[in-house]
Amino acid sequence: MKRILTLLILISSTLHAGNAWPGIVQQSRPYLVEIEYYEAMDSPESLSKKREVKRQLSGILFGNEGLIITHSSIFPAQLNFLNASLYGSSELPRDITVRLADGKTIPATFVGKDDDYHVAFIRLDMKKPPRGVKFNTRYRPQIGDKLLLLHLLNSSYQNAPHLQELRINAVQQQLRPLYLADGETRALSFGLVMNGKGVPLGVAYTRTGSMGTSASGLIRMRMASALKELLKNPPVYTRKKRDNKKWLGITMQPFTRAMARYYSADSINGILINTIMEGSPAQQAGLQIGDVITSLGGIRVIAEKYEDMDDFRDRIRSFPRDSAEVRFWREGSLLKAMVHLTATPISQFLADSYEIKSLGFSVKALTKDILLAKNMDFDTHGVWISQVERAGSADLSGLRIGDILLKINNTPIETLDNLKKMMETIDREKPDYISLFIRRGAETQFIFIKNLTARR
Amino acid sequence: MKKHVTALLLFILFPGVLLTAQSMDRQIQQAKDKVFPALVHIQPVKEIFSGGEKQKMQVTGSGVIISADGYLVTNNHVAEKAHYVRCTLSSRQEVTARVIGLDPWTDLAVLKLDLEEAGLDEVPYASFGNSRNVDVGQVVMALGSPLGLSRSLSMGVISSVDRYFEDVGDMISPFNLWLQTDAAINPGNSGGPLINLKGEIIGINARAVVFGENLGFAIPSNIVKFVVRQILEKGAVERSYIGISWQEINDFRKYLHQPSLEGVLVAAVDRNSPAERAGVRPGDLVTAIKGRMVSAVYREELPRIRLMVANQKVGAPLKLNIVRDGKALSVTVVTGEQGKFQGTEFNARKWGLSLEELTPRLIKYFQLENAAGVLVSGVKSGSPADKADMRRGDIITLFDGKAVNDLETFKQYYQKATTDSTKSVMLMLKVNKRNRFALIEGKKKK
Repeated sequence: MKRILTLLILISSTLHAGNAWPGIVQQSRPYLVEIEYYEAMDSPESLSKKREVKRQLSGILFGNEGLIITHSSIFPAQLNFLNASLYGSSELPRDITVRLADGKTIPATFVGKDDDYHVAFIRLDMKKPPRGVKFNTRYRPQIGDKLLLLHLLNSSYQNAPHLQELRINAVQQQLRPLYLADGETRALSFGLVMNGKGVPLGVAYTRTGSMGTSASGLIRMRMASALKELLKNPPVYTRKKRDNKKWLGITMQPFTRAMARYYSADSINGILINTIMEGSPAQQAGLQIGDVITSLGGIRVIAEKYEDMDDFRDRIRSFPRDSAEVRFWREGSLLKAMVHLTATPISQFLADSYEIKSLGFSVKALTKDILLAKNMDFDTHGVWISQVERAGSADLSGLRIGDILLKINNTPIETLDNLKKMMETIDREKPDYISLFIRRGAETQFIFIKNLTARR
Repeated sequence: MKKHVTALLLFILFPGVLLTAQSMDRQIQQAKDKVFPALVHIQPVKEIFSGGEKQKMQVTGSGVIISADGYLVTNNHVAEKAHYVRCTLSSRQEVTARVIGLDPWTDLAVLKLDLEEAGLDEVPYASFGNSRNVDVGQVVMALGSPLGLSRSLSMGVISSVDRYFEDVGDMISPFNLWLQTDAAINPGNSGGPLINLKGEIIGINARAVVFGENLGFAIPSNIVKFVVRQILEKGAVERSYIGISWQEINDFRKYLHQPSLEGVLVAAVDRNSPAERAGVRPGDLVTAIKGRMVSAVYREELPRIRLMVANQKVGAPLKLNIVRDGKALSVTVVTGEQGKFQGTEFNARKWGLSLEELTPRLIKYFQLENAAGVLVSGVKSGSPADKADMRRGDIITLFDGKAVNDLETFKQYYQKATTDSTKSVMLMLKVNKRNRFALIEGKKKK
């Protein structure tokens, strides 16, 4: 009955005033939800005090299983080791609550996220979730297309639904095309993109970085046609799992036309391998520095500018199969190899950590991002100092975040297990000083820390 | 009667106060008169590489003449890379000078005034005092050209005689402690003398704390005397190198519960260094060097040990007594040569590139495996090197597929390649643990 009424209103409004908006708002509003959650703010300088900050986002309820799609900033930890930073929390968002259009507040749990698309998924914790939006996945967007964007204003505007018209002003052509529209919508965190008739087509956001920096005057849109797979099978995040993307383990640059001329290989275009990481799929496949990759999985690789690298990287990351045929040029001949694509190494956010409260520091297993940042060999094993409590015992003795821990009391430490065992001995014997042998930059040194739990 | 007593007291005290004030003033005047004529305002024109190009720049510093025939002392950071040095004596006569020797490790330099050209037979000079006798609270004066204001004098006391500074980038002082003074020292005072009330040079002013108030630092005169003598005799200070970084044992004593432990801890051993070859390891406690007991409980005692090693003959065996895991042993390290501080520079002008030789310091800083390669120290905007995305800090390892072992090799390849301007050159660069190819494009044939 309600539906028919909506339809009638829709028809009547289009017929009479030529204004379809009230109908569209009424029809789509139930899909828009407000999400409230707590983000853990890990301070590298404090072990015990975990600060939490309340945050808000909007999201879109879709499908029939209570799934909500929202912005990936709900879990800002960078999972990909290549652009991970030293700081930030790896704690999942806590106490997520979702306010539906009818005002009901329902708890929800974090499902997973995709940093390449900047989207994340949460699920309502209820038996019979309300029906969500059904996206049209056949829409092929074009520059100039007129679209509607519906989102919820923030709480200072009582979360009123906000509908606006926009056009696709620019298309960033990549493996995952991004549609850009002009618009000053600072209150937008995540919204629903529709065509002029209110048919749901995709999602929009203004936040770009994981930390929620907003772009000035540009609305970014992802269409359901590209998100199809993610909507069907949302990524599931588990603490122990590796990054669910694949990697080749090289750094690369475009093999430009000028370079092709230099090598008298005018017809060759592709990606020039300049570094191969230890133990990577590329190394195992026998690829070498100086090889030019011309095709991947039967698809030609075109690379003339540095931006083209992103496309190639994206293609590797989301490659549908575990192995790929790579064709490449090496010193005048065209060769091919099968590359077994494995999961991308994890970033420090996903690394195991171990807190030593009595001394005021915590330690993490070395991940590839830290090795790159510290200019260390890519196959180094060990642990590094990830937190140092401000004015704690370790801090006062001069230990710093980023130091590589080599030995404790003259015993080499290569894994967190080594360290745990060592700390058990220390807890038992309670020496009043503990010696750490560390590496900082090019130099090693000893740091003697007073053990505050020592027997008097 | 009471009034009389007061008057009497005043009468007795007053001349006394007057006398001390007079003598203090006289002492200051006398000391100043001894050194002031030897004070030099130095304006070197430096040739530096900036943005991939050779550029000229004039700086201002101070100096002090130490001999009648015109030798003068200043800071290395004033005189280094000087192409031409113009000096103004305190008589305001202008004299050119040439650089005799530089010692970046102590930030000292010796220059010689061209007296003949200036038509002078001799010049007034100042003499050194013994910096070991300097004490905290002693009145001192700093002479020089603060912020370019020549022939300035400021006064204060010695605030500390054993200030220790860790090395930070190019600001290093491994072999000396510093005299700290509250006599105002500003940029431009660099290289000027710090003098006592006898008119003796007790230090050469070299550093001040930016935004700090009255925190100036001088290199003690005994270090200066040593360095000057070495430069005058050999043109440079010869130092030996074994590749050990030392650490004081104050906390190590507590860790071992041995409050009377003596020695110095090995904190790090450089890769491929004489110490590494001799089997010295981090954690070793060195108790004697060449039979002489050594100990550094506090870090202020480290420069003396570094100096002791540095003053050994290069290539000579050096016996170290070591305690390792409680056992005494001895190892013999054959000393090596302390590498260059600053590498030779080269301007690959046609490519808009300035390059620097890899010195042991740079190799350590970039954590390189060996000395192969040359460092890009600057890239000119819009140049072929810039177009090839080359950046400052890149290390060139390959030139058209051939290994670039050192700056000389690069120069040879470069000179040969640039005879034909249409030829392109492919370089391999190393940035941290990653490589990058850079194509320097030749001009298109017409």
